[in-house]
Amino acid sequence: MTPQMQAFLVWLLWVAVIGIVFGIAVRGSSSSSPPAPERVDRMRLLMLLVLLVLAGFGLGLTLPRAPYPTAAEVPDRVVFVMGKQFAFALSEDPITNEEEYEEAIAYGSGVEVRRGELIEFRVSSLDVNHGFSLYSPDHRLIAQVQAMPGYVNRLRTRFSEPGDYSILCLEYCGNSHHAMRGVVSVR
Amino acid sequence: MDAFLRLENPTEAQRAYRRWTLLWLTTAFVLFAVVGLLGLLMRLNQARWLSLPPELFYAILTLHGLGMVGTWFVAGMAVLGQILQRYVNPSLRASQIAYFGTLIAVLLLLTATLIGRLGVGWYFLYPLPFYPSGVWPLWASWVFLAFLTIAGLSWTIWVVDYLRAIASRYRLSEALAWPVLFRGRELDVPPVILIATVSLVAGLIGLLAAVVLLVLYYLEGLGTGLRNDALLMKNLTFFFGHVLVNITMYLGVAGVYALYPGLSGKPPLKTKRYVAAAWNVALLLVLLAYFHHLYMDFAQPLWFQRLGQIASYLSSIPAAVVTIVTVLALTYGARGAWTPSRLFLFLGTMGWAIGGMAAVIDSTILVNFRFHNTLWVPGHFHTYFLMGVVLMLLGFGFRFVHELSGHEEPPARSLGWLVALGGYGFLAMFFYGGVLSVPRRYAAYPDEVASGATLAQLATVFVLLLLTGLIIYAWHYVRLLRQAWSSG
Amino acid sequence: MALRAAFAAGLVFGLATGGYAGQEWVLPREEYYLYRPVPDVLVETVAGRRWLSSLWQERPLLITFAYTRCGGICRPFLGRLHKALEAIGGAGKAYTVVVLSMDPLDSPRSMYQLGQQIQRAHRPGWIWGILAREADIPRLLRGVGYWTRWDSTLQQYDHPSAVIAVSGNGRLVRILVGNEVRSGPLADVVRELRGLWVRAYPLPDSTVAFRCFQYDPDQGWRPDWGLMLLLLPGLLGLGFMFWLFGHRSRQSPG
Repeated sequence: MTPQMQAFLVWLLWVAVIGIVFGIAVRGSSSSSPPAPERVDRMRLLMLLVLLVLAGFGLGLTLPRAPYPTAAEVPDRVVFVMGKQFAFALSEDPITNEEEYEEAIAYGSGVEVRRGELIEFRVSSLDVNHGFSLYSPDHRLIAQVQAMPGYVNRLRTRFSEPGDYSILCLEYCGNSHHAMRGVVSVR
Repeated sequence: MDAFLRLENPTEAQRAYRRWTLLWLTTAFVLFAVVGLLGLLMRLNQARWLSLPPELFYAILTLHGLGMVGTWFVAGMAVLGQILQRYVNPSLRASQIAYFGTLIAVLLLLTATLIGRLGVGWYFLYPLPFYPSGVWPLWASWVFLAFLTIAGLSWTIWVVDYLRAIASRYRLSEALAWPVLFRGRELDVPPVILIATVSLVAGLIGLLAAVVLLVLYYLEGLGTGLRNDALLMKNLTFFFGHVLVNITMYLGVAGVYALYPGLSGKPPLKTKRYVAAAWNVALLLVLLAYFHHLYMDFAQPLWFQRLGQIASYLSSIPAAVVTIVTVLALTYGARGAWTPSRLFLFLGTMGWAIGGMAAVIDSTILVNFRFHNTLWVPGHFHTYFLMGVVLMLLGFGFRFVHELSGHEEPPARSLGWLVALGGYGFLAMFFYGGVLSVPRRYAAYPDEVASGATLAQLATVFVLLLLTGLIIYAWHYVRLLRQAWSSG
Repeated sequence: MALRAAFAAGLVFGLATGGYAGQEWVLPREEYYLYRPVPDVLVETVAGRRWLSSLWQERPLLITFAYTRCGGICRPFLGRLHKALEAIGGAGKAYTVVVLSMDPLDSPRSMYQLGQQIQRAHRPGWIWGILAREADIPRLLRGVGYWTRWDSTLQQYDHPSAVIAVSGNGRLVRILVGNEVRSGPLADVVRELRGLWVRAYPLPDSTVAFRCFQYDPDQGWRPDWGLMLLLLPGLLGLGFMFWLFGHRSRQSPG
């Protein structure tokens, strides 16, 4: 199951809980007598405690697993990524200005890496904000980072499966935003 | 019939104010219809049933986004003014200035997008307005900045006037219910004053962030040689954008607090200690949650990111424990009739909860890595808006015309079903699009995410259901408009 | 792809030789050498001989080049580096600083004396030495993107100022260039050598105003005007709130 699907199911569970609770209130609106204020206050307190515990649990479970690497590890390969309206240039050679961008793009918006390698993408932009994203060969979003002008963001990924990983733009960047792309070929 | 909105013997000033509220709401509903249909156009285009040129699609995207944000903000402000008017004296002049300012702003926005083809998206992320890639002329960027300036100025005047009105009757400690919160004292301040103060102060701070943002834009745009830092501009953009959208939600909630007890046959709500606590906490959290928009900017300091997730998680709790439990308790055993207004306020509260959970899930950094800028995001904010604050404000408007015209509300059944089914069906396609990693804001879907087109097709079917419901609503509303106006 | 690799190789070579000619690229560019293995060479100090690899296996390295005949930038640069690293801390614990001579006329003793001049006393975690084999000098320099050029009229080497960070497994992690020792980037490099991940870094751009943070050598990261601008709306808004309510309730009490 994809992480996306897991998150979706968690949400559906909440939707079900919310639906049931609101449904009970609707059903009770015509048949039952109003709840005593003390009972409502008790429920409120109980709900506060439950939600605090759940929030704490959720934070404790997810915050340490935020996908920002904390330990430095020497990557096997560095790929420089430069966004510019409307294509990503990728290269193992640095891309820091227009000429290097043009040189890199002349070979196509792609790069080849080996599976299992730790890849560091050094992502930046020459004009506006772009969203550098990696889609697995079965078209699921597996990683992303913003390409922001003036900054280099370092995204690290290990590709476990061979194939072509599409790059799409995930930050609206202008008229051909939907056509802005690149590819990482994993052998 | 409980008549919260229809005073027994209104003064001439109160009648005039009511008319303006009616004008505001009607204007907002018209804008909603127009801008909503633009949204349908976008979905049809994504469904491949229509073929708009991308520059038109993205101009519409910009108009739809900013149009909706602005429309519901002003509708919420108008509703808040009408409620406040029971307790304090908001100035009609300020409301009128805001109204004409908004009209001019709308004209400027229409000019920039439909004529100029400006397509920067609703949050016009710096430095996109300066990089038109040959699509829109320079003047369109300037018209757009003028739109932001005029809308921002007139809304700031409006917000400040409401605060002035509250301040002229209540002390700050009273308006924020501090005696209740800290000393557990009984206080004769309705919860709506508290919600209004919190929302307005937060809103003012958000609008001031927009001022800073605009000044930086002007400094760069006027060729002073200064260039802005993209990270700072992004922080300012989402600070302002998030706060404005978030307090729009609170403005709708103010409507729920004001109307829902009466519609359920209960006395008005009192400012209890937990209410005071919840809304004071909300004032803090609403200012911090925006960090969750920048998770994918690794240059942002790590503790900002963590703060974003913590604030987003925590901000859901006071809302749930106070407003939602209150609405549920008011509903249970109330025996009141399910009129459209009551149903819309109830459904709006439920939509808030459901959209809120979608937001909490997406505000988890771990999850955001996979959902950021996919269709999950419009999924959650359309739930907040369409099934949340829009329903609350539509409910308010429905009640308003019926009370003013002295008519009983019609039964709600078909209207409720059409709106709920159409709305949630439409939203489900966004959420599932997020699960399938379909990016948001794509004029057309490339092969990898071609499923987006199928989802868009299904979504348009649900939109037709929703539209039918809204047409029924509009029919009831328009029918009574003239009468409501003349008795207003 | 082969064409591309050939092109890339040519580019690197061209830049490297261009560097030697001192024309196009005066400063070493780290992007071309990132994460490449650093050549292992034999280092000689007054204390004896050690392989560079044994040093980096002990702890990561900050390598810099200087020579004792230098009448130019070497001493001021080393002085700044010394001061900056004193402020940042961690020498001898998180990393070792290796100052190597690229001048065949230098000896372990002359380098030791240079160290004494700069640091006044022996500092742990600093190594001052030469390359035991003269042939290793061009090999090491080329391997880390550094260059020197003998100026026969001045009887001096032309060379850039640079600090080269080497990880515990002998890979080049960063090259910091420039005569000014910039504390911010240097602290980032040290953080990375300590095993902390640096997620992003700003590109230098003097025209950008109002960043959120700037690095100050004495105080570490300090808020810049940009952060003030971010706090301004909140401060102004709350200030206005207090003013308005205070003002109004005086006007009409009750």
